[in-house]
Amino acid sequence: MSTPKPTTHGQGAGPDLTSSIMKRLGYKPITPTSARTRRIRKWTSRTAFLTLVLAAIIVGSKLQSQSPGARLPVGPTIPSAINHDLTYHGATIDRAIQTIKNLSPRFDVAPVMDLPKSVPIDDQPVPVQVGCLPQQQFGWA
Amino acid sequence: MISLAGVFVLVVSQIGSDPVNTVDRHDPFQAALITPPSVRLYLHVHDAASLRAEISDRPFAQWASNFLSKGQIPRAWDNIADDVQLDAAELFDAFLGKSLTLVVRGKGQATQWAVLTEVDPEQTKLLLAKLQPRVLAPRHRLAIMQLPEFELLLAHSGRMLLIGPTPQPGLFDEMVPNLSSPPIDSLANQPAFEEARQLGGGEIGLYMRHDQPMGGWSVAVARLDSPHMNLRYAAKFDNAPFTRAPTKLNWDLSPIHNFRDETALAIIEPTDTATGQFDAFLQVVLGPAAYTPAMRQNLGSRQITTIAELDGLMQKPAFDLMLPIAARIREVKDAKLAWEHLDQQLIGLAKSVNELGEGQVSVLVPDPSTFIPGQPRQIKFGSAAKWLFGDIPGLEQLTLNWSVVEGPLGAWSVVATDYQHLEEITAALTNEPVEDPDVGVWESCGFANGPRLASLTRSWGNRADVLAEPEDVEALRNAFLLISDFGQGVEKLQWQMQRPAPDRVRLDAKITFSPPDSSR
Repeated sequence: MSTPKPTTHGQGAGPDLTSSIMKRLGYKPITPTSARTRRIRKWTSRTAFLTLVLAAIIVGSKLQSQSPGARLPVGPTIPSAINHDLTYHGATIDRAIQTIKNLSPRFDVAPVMDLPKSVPIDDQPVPVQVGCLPQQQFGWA
Repeated sequence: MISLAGVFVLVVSQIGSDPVNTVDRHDPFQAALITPPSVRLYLHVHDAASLRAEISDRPFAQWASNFLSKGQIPRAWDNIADDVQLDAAELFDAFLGKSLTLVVRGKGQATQWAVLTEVDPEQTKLLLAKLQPRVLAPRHRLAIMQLPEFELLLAHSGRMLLIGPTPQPGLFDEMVPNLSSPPIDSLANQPAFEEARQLGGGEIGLYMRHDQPMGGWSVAVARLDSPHMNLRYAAKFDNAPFTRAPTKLNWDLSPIHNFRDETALAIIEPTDTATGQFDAFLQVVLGPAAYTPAMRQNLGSRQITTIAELDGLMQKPAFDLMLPIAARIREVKDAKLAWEHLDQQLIGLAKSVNELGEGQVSVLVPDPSTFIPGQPRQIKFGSAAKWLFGDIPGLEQLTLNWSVVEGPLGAWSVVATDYQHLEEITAALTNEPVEDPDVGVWESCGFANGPRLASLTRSWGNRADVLAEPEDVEALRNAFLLISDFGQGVEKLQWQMQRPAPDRVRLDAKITFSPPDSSR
């Protein structure tokens, strides 16, 4: 049994018991190399755990989305259908109107009675604007 | 602040009361009080289940169903119906059948919408139990739920259910607090709703903001009085889509009723604003000679245009197409003068098209001295029609026929593209008036016979190959068949239009739905 070293504190200097007390408490000095090894091991294990948790979440989410209880839209939903149909039906009607409009000859002229009364009617040029008069067109009145 | 119960009474008492007793006073714009003013479309339907049941077996409903089936809404609706083990119609009646108001804001991908509907609390509880919504935090004393698989949000309290989309919930979110406390600034404060309230009550109410550059708004109220639907419409435009000022003439529209059985379409208009393609054609071909000062001075205040159909299979030689035949009928002050003017005008036309046709047109120009006074005249116009419109079957048989008629309805000049149609028109004009006078500053009045117009357009659809260039044939066929199917569903349409100001329109229309196929 070694003789405790005298302390430098107080008047009654005694032996330094720090090391033995810390040992009894479960602490002992380690080398810097050993400390670094332990630190690396600790972070490696933490990273692995985190990876496992993330993987579990991803796999779980994938499995859930494929399970019968999944709550993802299947087929068109009302919101997407409304957006689609407003555009689709609007375009269908516009196309029909435009197709028929293109078919008939269009003349834009003034009404027969709609002329200023202060000027002799014969002197008034008839405001005629002729659209094209294609051969392959239809419509009369 | 008005309590939730107060608003509930305010809205539901209007949108959900007994239809039998309240249709007369039903205000379809009541829900505008809780609608933000920024919406561009507001549609309210009262007792939609009865409306659906009323027209479900009629051709109009079949047309609407076929038209809508090409979109995605029926499939999306079926998905929900499958989840609650109901068919689509039952689900409609349960969720939307009592009273529904659809409001829409924005356009394209930014479209936001919400539906306010009245529901049966017990039935809704059962349906929601089947749908198993995610319950979110309540807002403004309303239960808020989400149906992730249908991308829908629900706000529910008793008989009131507000539905909105999860992807664009802006309008839904804005309306939730309005249900418990109506906003100071609402859609009902917009100027359009002052006009809307003057349209009276009805099961259907519509407000629509027009896109620029036209701008302005439209409002309409419709009342179902089976098999008729009465529609009252008003509009204001920032830039009105009319090239003419409103008429200044005060005139009687009742002569139009004499043509009810003779035509597929008949329109009566005042002569100070009316134009027609035939008169436009005359002015193009004849220039100032088309209408001399004497002709103008002899004109009365009314002009009627009619369209009927000529079945090519009944002609000799027969052809597989129905041709439209038309008549332009003008009120005249002096019948004798009108004969002279018409002879001069139409003989001038025959001469001019011969000159313009440069050898390709050979219209036989009649000698006026051979005309028998008081008898209809005719020019065979087939070669000119072929030259103008192309190689369409039956056009070679086209004639121009004219006459002047005096009778109980006044004196009228008539020009028709078919002799038989001219005879029908002149007979109708010599009959006693079938309706009492109806005088007003009308802009346009008329009626359309849906099934007759449907036959005509179906025939054109079937022969689109002779009417259009090859690349346009399919589009033209589809367009005509769409109109034809629609026409089949509307037995008759009547309208009366006024323009109280250059930027305003008022229209009253009566739609008579065609009877179910089973009852024909």
